[in-house]
Amino acid sequence: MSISVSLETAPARKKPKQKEQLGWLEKTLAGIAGSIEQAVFTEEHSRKDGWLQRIDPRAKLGMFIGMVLAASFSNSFWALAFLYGLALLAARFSRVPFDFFVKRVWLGIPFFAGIVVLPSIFFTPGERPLAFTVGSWVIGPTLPGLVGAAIFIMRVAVSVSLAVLLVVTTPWSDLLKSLQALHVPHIFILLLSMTYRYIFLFLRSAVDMFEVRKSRVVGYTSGHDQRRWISGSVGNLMNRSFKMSNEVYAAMLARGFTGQVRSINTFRMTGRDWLALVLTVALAAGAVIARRFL
Amino acid sequence: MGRDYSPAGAEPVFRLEGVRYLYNGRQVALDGINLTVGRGEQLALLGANGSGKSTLLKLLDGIFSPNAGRMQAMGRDVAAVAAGQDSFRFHREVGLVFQDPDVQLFSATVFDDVAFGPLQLGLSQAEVLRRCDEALQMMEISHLAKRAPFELSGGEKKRAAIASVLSLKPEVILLDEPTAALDPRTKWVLVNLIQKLGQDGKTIITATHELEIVPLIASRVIVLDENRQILADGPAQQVLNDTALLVKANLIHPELHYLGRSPSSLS
Repeated sequence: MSISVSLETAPARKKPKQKEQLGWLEKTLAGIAGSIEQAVFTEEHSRKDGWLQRIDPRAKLGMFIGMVLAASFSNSFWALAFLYGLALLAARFSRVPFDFFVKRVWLGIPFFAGIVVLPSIFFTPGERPLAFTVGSWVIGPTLPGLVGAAIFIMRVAVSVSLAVLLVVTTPWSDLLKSLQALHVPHIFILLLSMTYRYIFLFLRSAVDMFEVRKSRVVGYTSGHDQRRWISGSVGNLMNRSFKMSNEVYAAMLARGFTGQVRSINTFRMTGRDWLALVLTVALAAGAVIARRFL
Repeated sequence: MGRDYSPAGAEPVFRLEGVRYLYNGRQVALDGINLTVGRGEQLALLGANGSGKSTLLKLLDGIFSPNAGRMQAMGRDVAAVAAGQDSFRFHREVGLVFQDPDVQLFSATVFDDVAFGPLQLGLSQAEVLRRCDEALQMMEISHLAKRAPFELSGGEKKRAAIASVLSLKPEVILLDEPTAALDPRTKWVLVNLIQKLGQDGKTIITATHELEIVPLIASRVIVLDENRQILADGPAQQVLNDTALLVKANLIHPELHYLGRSPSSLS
C-alpha cells in the first residue's frame, strides 16, 4: 500500500526528454544501418543481368565522362532533357527500378541546386513576369534567370543521374579498378578500395555500440553524459581502427606485400563495349552540337 | 625454459631456441620458447586465451622478430625476415591464416583477396587466375568470388581467408583458431581440408583451444601455459589424455568438461 502511494506521489518523469533521447539513438542507428543496406542494395543492382551491367567498366566510365562533359557544355534545356531521356532509357534497360532511380536524383537536387541558383533568378537582368515593388526596389524573378536556373538544375540532375547509374550498375571494386584506365596510381586505388571495405566493418561496430547502449539505458541521462559517451565511443572506435590497421598491414606482409602494389585486370573490351562507347560519345557530342540548331 | 620435444630425423622447418617476445618492449608475450618443427608435421598449438598462441604464429610467419633467443625458419634468420630481408621469398613458403578474417580480407572482393598473394609473388596473370580458381574451388566458395567481404557470413569469411593463403601454395601453413565460432558443418569442412593438406605433405601448425578437433588435425601437440611458456610438447593422444595438464593450462575446467562427474573424480 505504502509503495503504491509513494509511486503515485512520486514526481512525474520527464517524458519529453526521454522521447528525445531515444529518438536520437534510434535515428543514429537507423542512419548507420541505412547506409549499410543502401550499399548492399546498390551492389545487388550491379549484379543484375542488364544492359549496362554487361558493359566493360572502362567503357562505362568513358561513356559516363562523355555524357557528363556533354551536359556541362550544353546550354540548351532540350539537349539536356534529351540526355536525361537517354539516362532513363539506360536505367530501364539495365533493370534499375524507375522510382528508385528518379527519386534518388530528384529528391535532393532541386533543394541543393536550387539554393545555389536562387540569387541568379532575381539578379539576372531581364523581363520580370512577376514583380513586387517595395519602395524604390522591384523584386521578382526574371525570365532569363528562371530559364538559366532550369538549365542549371537540369544539368545537375543529368550529371547526378549518370553518376547514380554508373555506381548502381557497376560493383565498387570494378569501378575503382576501371580508374586504372585513367592512369590513376595503383596505390591510390588500393587505398580507396580498402577504405570502402573497412568503412562497413566500422559502421557495424558503431551499430553494435549504439545497440549495446540502447539496451542498457533505462532512465534519463543528461546531455553531458551523452556527449561523454559519444566522445568515448569515437575514441574507442579510433583505437580499434588503429589496432586493426596494424593487423591488416601484418596480413599484407604475410602474403608477400613489399610496398609495391600489383593488381590483376580481368576486364575484356569486346566489340559490343566499343560500340556502346562510340555510340554514347557520338550522341553526347550530338547533344552539344545540337544547341546551335535549337 | 621449456624442453624441446621435437621428433628426431625430420628436416627442421622451424628451430626456436630460448625465444622471448615482449609486447611494446615491456609486456611478456612469450618466454623461453624452445621448439623444433619438422617438415611435413601436423602440429596443434594449445593454450588458453592470452597464452601467446597468436604471437608465436606471427613469429613463425616472420611478422614479428624475437626480442631474445635464436629463431630460424627454413634455414633463414627470422629476425632478418621480419626486418624485410628476403621476406618476399619467405612468404612464398609460409602462409598464415589470421584469427580474424576481417583482417585477412582487406580487398574489395573475395577474388581480389585470393589473388593478392599470387600477384605479390609476381606470377603471370594466367597462373594467378589458375591458382585463384583452384583455391576458391578447394574452399567451395567459387560462387562468392565477386562478393564484397562485408556481404559474407562468418563461415564464408573464414573460408575466403583460408583460400587467400592457399592460393600462395605455401609449404608451411599456420592457422590461428581456424574453427573458432563456426557452425559444425563449416568446422568439419575445415577439419577435412587440414587433413587433406597434411596428407599432401604440408607442414601445418594450428593454434586452437577446441580440443575435440585436435586428434583429427594433429599428431603432435604443444601446450602453452598462462606464463607464456611451453608447458608440454608431445604426441597428441598423450597430451590430451593428461587431464591434470589440461586443467593446469586452463584448457579444460573440471566443472565444465566433465559434466555430471564430481571434480574430485579427476584426481
